[in-house]
Amino acid sequence: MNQFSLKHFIVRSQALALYRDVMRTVMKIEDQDYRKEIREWARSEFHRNRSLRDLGEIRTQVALGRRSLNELKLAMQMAS
Amino acid sequence: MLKTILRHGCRLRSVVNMRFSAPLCNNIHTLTPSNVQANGQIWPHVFVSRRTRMIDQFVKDAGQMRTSPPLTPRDIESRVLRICNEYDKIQEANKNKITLVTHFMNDLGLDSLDHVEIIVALENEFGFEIPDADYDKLYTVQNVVDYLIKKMNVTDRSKTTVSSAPDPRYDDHHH
Repeated sequence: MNQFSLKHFIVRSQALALYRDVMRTVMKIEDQDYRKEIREWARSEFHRNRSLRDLGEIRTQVALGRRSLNELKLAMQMAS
Repeated sequence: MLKTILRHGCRLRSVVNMRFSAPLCNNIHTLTPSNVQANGQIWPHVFVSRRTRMIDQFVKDAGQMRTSPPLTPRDIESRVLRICNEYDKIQEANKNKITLVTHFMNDLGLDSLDHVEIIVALENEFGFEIPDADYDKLYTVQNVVDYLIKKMNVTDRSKTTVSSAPDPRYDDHHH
């Protein structure tokens, strides 16, 4: 019996969508060193939380990630 | 003496520096007040209007680089393989063994996050966004190549649009 429910599947897709948006934004960073730094940071954040199984916790982390991504986009806009 | 000035005038420094600025080079044959005041200095019309071989060559090269060569399936394959090989999370042992049948997760031991990174790198390489729903179809290199071929309408017959004939606009004997 699969322990993961449909809700898990949906939440997982949301997390992957967030990762996708983060990576697309990271690709737009001009400075190679800064790009590497941000990418490593994003990877470590996602990998740190990969074993979470509680839906509430996962959703919270995804929301925090979204907020961080918006801050990053804002910072990039102001820098250019 | 005037002939010497006319012939060598443009080899003076300021005009040579103009070759590094592409917009200025594109306009070099049309004289406007803004052209003449290049690099913050005012040059007499006659100096700016003389084409030199260096600037001609630069513009000719730029013109030929403007059109990118048409894609063939083999181009797409090699570019996809190159992107996969450049991905830093792949073990050294697997790096040069990537083929068309390689499966990202089963053969290279990557997880879903790495898969996202690779596809985003491909989006960046080929210059268009792959919709989220299509990510699930792209788990092997062969699938990726076929998908890209379909999306970019690449045909087998490569019609060369870049010919070796020189661009008549920048022909040398127009001096």
